[in-house]
Amino acid sequence: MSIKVENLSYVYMQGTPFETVAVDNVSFEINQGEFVAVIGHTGSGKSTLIQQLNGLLIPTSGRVEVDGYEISTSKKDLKEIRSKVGLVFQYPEYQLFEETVAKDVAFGPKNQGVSEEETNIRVKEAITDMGLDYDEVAEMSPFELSGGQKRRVAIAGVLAMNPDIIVFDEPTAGLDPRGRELLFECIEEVRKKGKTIILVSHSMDDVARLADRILVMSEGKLIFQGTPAEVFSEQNVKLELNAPQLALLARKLNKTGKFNIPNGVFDVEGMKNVILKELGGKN
Amino acid sequence: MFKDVTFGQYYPSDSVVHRMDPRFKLVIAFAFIIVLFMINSFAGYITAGLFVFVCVAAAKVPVKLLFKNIKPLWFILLFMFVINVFFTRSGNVLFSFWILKITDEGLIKAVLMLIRIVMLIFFTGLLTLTTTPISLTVGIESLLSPLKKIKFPAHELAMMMTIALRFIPTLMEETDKIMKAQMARGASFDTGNLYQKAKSMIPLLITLFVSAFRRADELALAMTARCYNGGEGRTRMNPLKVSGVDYAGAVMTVLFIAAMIMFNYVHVI
Ligand SMILES: Nc1ncnc2c1ncn2[C@@H]1O[C@H](COP(=O)(O)OP(=O)(O)O)[C@@H](O)[C@H]1O
Ligand SMILES: [Mg+2]
Repeated sequence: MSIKVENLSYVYMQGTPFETVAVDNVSFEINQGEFVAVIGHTGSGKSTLIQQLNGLLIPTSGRVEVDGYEISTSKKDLKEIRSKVGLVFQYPEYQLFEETVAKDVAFGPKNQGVSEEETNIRVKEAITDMGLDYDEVAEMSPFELSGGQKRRVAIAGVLAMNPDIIVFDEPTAGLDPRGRELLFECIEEVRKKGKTIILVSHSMDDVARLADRILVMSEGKLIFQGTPAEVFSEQNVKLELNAPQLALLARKLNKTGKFNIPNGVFDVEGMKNVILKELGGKN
Repeated sequence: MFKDVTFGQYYPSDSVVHRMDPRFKLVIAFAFIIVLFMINSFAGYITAGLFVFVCVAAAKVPVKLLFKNIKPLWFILLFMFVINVFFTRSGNVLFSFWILKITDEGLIKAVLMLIRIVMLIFFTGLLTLTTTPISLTVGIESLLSPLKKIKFPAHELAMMMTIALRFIPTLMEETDKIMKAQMARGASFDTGNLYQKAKSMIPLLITLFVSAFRRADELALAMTARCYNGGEGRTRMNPLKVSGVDYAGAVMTVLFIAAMIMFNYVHVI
């Protein structure tokens, strides 16, 4: 289940005075089971890029291939691709509309033509996977839930379609720190089930910690791609990214001359061990 | 989905017509329409055509956009043309068939009528192409403000129009987003019979209503928090200013109207 993107470009409102080149000649590949993060400033074309991965936007030029299916205007292929690639939009909670949480989550599987039984199983699993208590929320109205819960219900709606690839567009925007943490835990759980994850996020600490690979977008172009260690290495300061806190800490400590912390340590526990080892070695 | 729909039809550019005060443009357009229907001489038509030409040239908008406005009206234009051709009985008969008679006078009348309507569409099109919907609203409010004395809610009307205009693109964007999100979940809006299509709109409409009410609520709160309490004593951030181009436009229009009135009495051609 891989995604192959070649020379992809997307132009909004082509041929009008408002023409915008949102994605400009981008190429990359994403392999089965990979966790890829997409970062870049607002307006750099991240959302436009990922909406082309399941054919919600049809490329202006270039190719997108998902598991051998090429994105084109063919309705049958699009349906197939949308079942394979689940897309969680920014602020997905505003898209809830059914009377009950369970019904809302079942919207996707029903459109796919999944049987009633199978739908119920999937709905229950998806709600549980998102860290919610199925028995408690299933019959509630989505509008009674808190913001963070609503969002997780909306994400469950995408998970219930059982896609192989899940794309999240800034899933933690507007959540409190606790909600953000919970959501990332859920995403990690989903990942452990073997799903490919594509995550658009401004939260550099989490991106560095979670992703296998990072794509950096700027003004529609893919300006860099590599492992978190490569992306946030000191040589890449020119990309003008907000480096994760731990990378900044490592840089500051190394500058004192007393430390030599290697690049690419992005979790607190790991950083603690590295620092202790460095200190131990000196004492 | 809606990516190619630009609301209103403002064509951004920096021309003297774009820079004119919206009140002057509104009054001039109004005056032009009235004069247009009083023309009764060839000299009049030529002068009016010249006036439209000068305005279009000064506005620097592509003529293609003006013709675009005519397209949806072609059937009405054709209908009026045919009526004029066949129902004018006076003049020399050019062609007759069964009970239908085409006279030279009828043909001329029909053509002139067509020219009048096309000029009308061009001129009003020019107004909306060179003036943003918001400044049109401001202009209308200002022109209607004398009516406040007789309790006509000019400010409230303008504020409602402004808010509605402001939220049209937002709601379009929202519709687009929700449709995409539901399409990502396997919904399809363009397949099936009429009943299925209508049914697939329900989730969209519910979501849209919920969000429109939420936005209205937030906006009301934000306006109250910033001390909005109606038009009484409210000043403008960009007050309308009358400048040289406005006087020039007004003088040109007055001269044009004077010429038109003259042609109505003194037949040159
Ligand atoms: N529906 C749209 N119509 C016109 N322009 C758009 C639309 N959506 C996005 N854009 C423009 O495309 C560019 C990229 O936007 P987007 O993909 O949303 O960036 P990001 O998700 O990185 O913030 C921006 O300049 C934005 O203004
Ligand atoms: Mg975005």
